[in-house]
Amino acid sequence: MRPRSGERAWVRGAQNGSAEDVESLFRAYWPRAYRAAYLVAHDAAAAEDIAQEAFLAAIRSLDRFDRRRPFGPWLHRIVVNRAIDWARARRLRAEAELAAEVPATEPPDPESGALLRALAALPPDHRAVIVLRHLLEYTPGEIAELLDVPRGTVNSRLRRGLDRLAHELGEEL
Amino acid sequence: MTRLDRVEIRGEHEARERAWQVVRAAYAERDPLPRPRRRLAPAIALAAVAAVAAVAFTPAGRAVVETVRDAIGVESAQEALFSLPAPGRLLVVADGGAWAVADDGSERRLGEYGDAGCSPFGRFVAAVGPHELVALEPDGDVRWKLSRPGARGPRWGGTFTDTRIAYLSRRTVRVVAGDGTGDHELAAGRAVAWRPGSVRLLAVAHADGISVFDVQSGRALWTRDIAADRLAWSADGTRILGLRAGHYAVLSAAGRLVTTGPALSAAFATQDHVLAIVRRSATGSELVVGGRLRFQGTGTFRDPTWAPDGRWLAIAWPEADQLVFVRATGPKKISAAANLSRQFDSTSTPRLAGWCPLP
Repeated sequence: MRPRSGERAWVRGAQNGSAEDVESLFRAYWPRAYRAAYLVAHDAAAAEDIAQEAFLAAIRSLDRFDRRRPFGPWLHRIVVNRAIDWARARRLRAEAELAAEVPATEPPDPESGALLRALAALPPDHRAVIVLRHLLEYTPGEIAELLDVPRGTVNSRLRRGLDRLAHELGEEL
Repeated sequence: MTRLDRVEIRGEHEARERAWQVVRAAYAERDPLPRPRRRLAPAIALAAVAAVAAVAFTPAGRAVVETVRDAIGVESAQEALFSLPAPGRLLVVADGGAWAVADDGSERRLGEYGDAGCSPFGRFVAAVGPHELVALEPDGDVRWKLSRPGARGPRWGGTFTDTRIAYLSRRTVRVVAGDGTGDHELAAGRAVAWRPGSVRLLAVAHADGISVFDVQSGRALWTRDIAADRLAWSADGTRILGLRAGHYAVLSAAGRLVTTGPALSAAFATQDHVLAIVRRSATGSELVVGGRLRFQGTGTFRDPTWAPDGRWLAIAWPEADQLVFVRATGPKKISAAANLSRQFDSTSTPRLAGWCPLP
């Protein structure tokens, strides 16, 4: 994966103090980072939190960032791994006490609702693999690198996840 | 599976804009643009404060300091603190101990304590002396005391019938029931704040950031890597304020960063989560309440403290040796009391530790 020329220029500009280039990076990468976090965590507030924290981490380590490397995978690695952690930890939290602060966001249309319910039935790491493959369009090899798991594990999670989704949605995927 | 792109997320646009504000602020902090004029003003202010501090150590200099104080304080300040503009008891911590000031101006020295805080309904005061935590009646009578090394920062939380005090002993957070029983260690930390009305949810600032603990299980519900050495929980329980080194951060009760910015000090209102912020201005300090400028002056304001009714704020103004009351809502109104350190037998301007409701 090589960085796109626009992206490289934004990173360089951001390192040199250009707020406009930071905004360009943010606007370009926020939508998919936030969406990926939402699809894994299944909570809009948490997704905002996770994606925002990933960007803040990017800002903090901007000076050390190697411009020859692509920005997207670096950001997505943080986002997806944190979303997995959040989804795993959620069941351990005292949700009853904090429920008012972390409302689950209801999808506004039935199709989205069905897909989200089907995704929610999967374990978080299965959801993450599907999101990385089918939303962020990484190859299984790249996903293995991002999640630090063997490629075979990625393939098996993908297959089992998609089978389960097909079953839940009653269709061929 | 291209449908993942089309899943609708309610509030997506608002989330993006909120996050952008936070990211932009973080970037501006990382690499502030050079602003020579703005840098000059604080430099002059600091130089002036340094000059005042230098001459204050000589007898002749003290007269100069008094003159400067007259020049920079609220002009119409009363000679002393004769009354409070709202019901309640103001807790004042001076060199020689802690004091409770009633709304009619009567003062009572609580004892030789270095910090103090009100119980949630104003019936008691938690105070710390050298190596002890003490629960007091408002008139200073000791209900119970607990010997603990380096006790500080007591915060009393809970309901009308069940309360807990969280405090620090050296670098450890400890929790004790309101009757002085069941004292136990919770975690490492340097500041604490109770969720209003709760004896279970306690925000703790520690070396790794801010956590909310379930005190009953002793487990951290979440941790956010934001440094803070002062904490407050909003009255409506929806926000947590962290303060450190000229900056503040507001988190949701679930740990999401809501906003951040520069602040010398800040405090949540007593009814909701409106924030009063003291921040540096071009000529000194300014007090901003709910985003609106309410008061400004030279030097540095300290300890913004809300009246229990949420209509007034008190701030300490060391350079003027004044206590200033600022109306928080409606038309602007200011009143002030001068000679604060003399009134409380202190060699430095006393600190405001709380404004307790009347029981």
